[in-house]
Amino acid sequence: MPNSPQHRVETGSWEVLIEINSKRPEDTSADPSEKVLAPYHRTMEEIERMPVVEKTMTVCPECKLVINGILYKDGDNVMIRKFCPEHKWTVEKYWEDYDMYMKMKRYNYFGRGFENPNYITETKGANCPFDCGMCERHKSHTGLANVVITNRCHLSCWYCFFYAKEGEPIYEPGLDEIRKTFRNLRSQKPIPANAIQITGGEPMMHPHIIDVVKMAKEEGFDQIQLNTTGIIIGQNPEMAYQLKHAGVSTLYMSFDGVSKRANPKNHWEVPLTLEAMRKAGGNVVMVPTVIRTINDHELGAMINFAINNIDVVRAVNFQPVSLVGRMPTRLREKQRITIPGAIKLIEEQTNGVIRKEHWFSVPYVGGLNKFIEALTGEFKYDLSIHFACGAGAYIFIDSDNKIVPLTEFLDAPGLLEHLQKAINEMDGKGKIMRRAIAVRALLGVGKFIDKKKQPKSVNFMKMLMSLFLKHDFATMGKIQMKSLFLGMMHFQDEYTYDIHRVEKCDIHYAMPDGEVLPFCTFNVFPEVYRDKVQKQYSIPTSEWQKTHNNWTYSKDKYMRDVKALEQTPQYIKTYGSLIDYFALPVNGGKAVSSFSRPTEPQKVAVVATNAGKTEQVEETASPAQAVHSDHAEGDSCGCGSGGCGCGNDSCGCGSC
Amino acid sequence: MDHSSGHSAHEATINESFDPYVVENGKRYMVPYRIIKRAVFENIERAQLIDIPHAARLQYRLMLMDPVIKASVDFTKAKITILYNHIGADNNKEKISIEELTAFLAKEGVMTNPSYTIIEDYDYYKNFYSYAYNPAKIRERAPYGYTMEQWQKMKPDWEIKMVEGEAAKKAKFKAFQESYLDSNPDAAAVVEPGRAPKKKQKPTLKERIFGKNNSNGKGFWFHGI
Repeated sequence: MPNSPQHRVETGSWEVLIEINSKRPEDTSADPSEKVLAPYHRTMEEIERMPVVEKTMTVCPECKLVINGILYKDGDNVMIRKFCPEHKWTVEKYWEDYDMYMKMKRYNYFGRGFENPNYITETKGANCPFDCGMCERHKSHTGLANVVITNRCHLSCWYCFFYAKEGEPIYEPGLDEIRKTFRNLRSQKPIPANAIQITGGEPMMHPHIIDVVKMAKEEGFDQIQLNTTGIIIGQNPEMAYQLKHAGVSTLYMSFDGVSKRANPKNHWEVPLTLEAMRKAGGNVVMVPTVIRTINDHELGAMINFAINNIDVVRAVNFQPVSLVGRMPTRLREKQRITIPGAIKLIEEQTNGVIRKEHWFSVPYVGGLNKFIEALTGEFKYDLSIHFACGAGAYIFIDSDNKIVPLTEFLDAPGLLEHLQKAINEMDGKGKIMRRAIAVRALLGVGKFIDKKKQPKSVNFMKMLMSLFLKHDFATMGKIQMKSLFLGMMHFQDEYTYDIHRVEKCDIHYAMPDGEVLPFCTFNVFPEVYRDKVQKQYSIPTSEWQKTHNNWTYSKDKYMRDVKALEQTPQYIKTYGSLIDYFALPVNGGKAVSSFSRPTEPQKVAVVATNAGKTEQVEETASPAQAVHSDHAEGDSCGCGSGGCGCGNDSCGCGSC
Repeated sequence: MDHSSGHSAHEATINESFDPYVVENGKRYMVPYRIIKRAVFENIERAQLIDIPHAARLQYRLMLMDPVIKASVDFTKAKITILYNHIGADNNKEKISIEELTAFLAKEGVMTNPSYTIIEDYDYYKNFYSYAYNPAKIRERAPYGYTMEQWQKMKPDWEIKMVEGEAAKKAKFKAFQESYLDSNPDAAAVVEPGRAPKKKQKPTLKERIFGKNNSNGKGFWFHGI
């Protein structure tokens, strides 16, 4: 086979590739201020001289010894270094913008843990992170609860660690067991979990998914997210109605890019899913996993895609990849991207329309909630996560298509300071005095809004008043309807692990044994948490086969018909009529990076390698055909199963 | 043992007669263990545990073994507690003997003393599973800006409000479902096939004279202004 590893070895091209991959960036600049920043390649003497930003506890990625972690400043980067007596130094990128790190840090605060923590061990968090459940040491209540309802998935994405591989036991709890988990989450004190994400595997593969959603609503969850590829909904559009009626608030849908190459997971089905959700009046949050060199060139294009579908898409929640499992430095360096790294790329790719100063860390919102809590005396959601875990920005699309980020017309830090003063004043006062202080504070809110800059179609003051006076989810929903929320959520891995972050985590997993765990212990140490406990509560495949109508692993897997999907009216409409909002004169008039309409026949001259010869393929091939012809039969997409469902041989893993 | 692999070589023994489900109020829940063992090793030499980070790693390494359900290595108290699925336990999961456990600890440099070792039965269902689903309340906090004294006075009202809020929330959602199906015949056809379409209400006299009020309670005179 012409492109197989065997062939590469025989022709010597393998050695060439290895040599190219081993090249390090060279510093040829004479001016020391222009030196190539290569934070991974410094000597330890150099690194130890760098200014220390913060100290924390972390783990050795090799042996899991709990060790000191030092965050230090290297040029513009915040790096983490750690020393294990056995495995020596590990150096990793923690945050790619020092100034932004310091800005985000201002909003950090300690929230409230559980009044009824459900941990079992006796050491009370002394051996963190190997003592999880929610121990006395944990500092945030559950903000978003994840409940895994199956580990089966119809795809086999190479970077995903959430699904059962062939031969692994099946975890799929029954309805009563799921209800018990929901009740467990709702019985948390003092603030019951109110937002839930039903996840998997692919949760749509659970045979009673509609009943699961209904049950979540019955148990009192306000916000129900369904974490899915959307493929099953796209192909069974009537399910969108059922889900909406049952109580799904948002579809939390994987979406790794606009192009086929960046998003082999569900590029072809997304138009069908969006159309189904549009008709059902549903909401979609697009969730790209961002991997440097794989899809980081399409961040702006993804935002543009979301704006094109703003009638149904409420948010794009970027998730810089968590490099779980042991990886060589070279590969980490290549694929690592952190929140500010993605934010900077968005700024570049949207021609400065969405800039880094428009972003805020998640605990910023805690200031607003504290004000409402101090006013009403009722517990409110805290969102007290670590500032380095998440960031967000709101953009409004005005009637003339101008993209207006929220902080263009709202002095957010000023507003927060103003409210904090009122909170301090309220301390120890009676009900009437509190209200008087609140009224005075609210009357002063107007000065933080620049009405000349706010979108013409939005009265933000009115929205804000509604939020403060009604202080409910519906008001937040109304803000969402007129805007697009851009989120960042960076989950940790063994290289960047920071115990200060994990003890403030508010994205939790409810496990079948009754314990509740932070996301970044559940998934970073699956061998002692996720996989271990799910295995205890799983059924071996042989037994699953017997009880489930001769089920086989391959029957679960999705095979797509690319040609048929590309001819659907939804596909042609969605990708073929994309508007480049960033290219409009009102937004600066420069095209968003990587903008393209994939369905238009393009003049492409793709060179297909065939036994050492090169030949020109059809000039009018659609990109799908072009990509396909670029990959010879027998290529491995690296997913290990050969059934990644990508429909062509390019799953974007870089190994095709 | 390869600590990094996350797998242990222990095999599951299948007992066909074991029912992994328990019944609570007529509902079936999978509970993979019943009576397991708890081993408590006390008076361990601190030097063998080295320090808290090494104790934490030992705990991690113990947890890597499938038959170990929970482990706790307490450096301060020089004590190791292990919940494990012992040989002969009535379930279908991987099992381990106490000898294997002590051998593992010895390999990790921790020598246990039989005279300071307690091995006892542990009811997984009662003490682990049921507790995790109904944990004890260990502390209480007041909302931001309030003292505990103020909170104690406010709390009964808040609790009533919470219950009322839950009921109101459910009623609101029910109303949403009705209006969703009423306003969306396609959805109605899928969700409730055969559902009779809602009769259009006749406009009232006031509506016939002044037009329908679409202004969300602001009063008809705002309409269109």
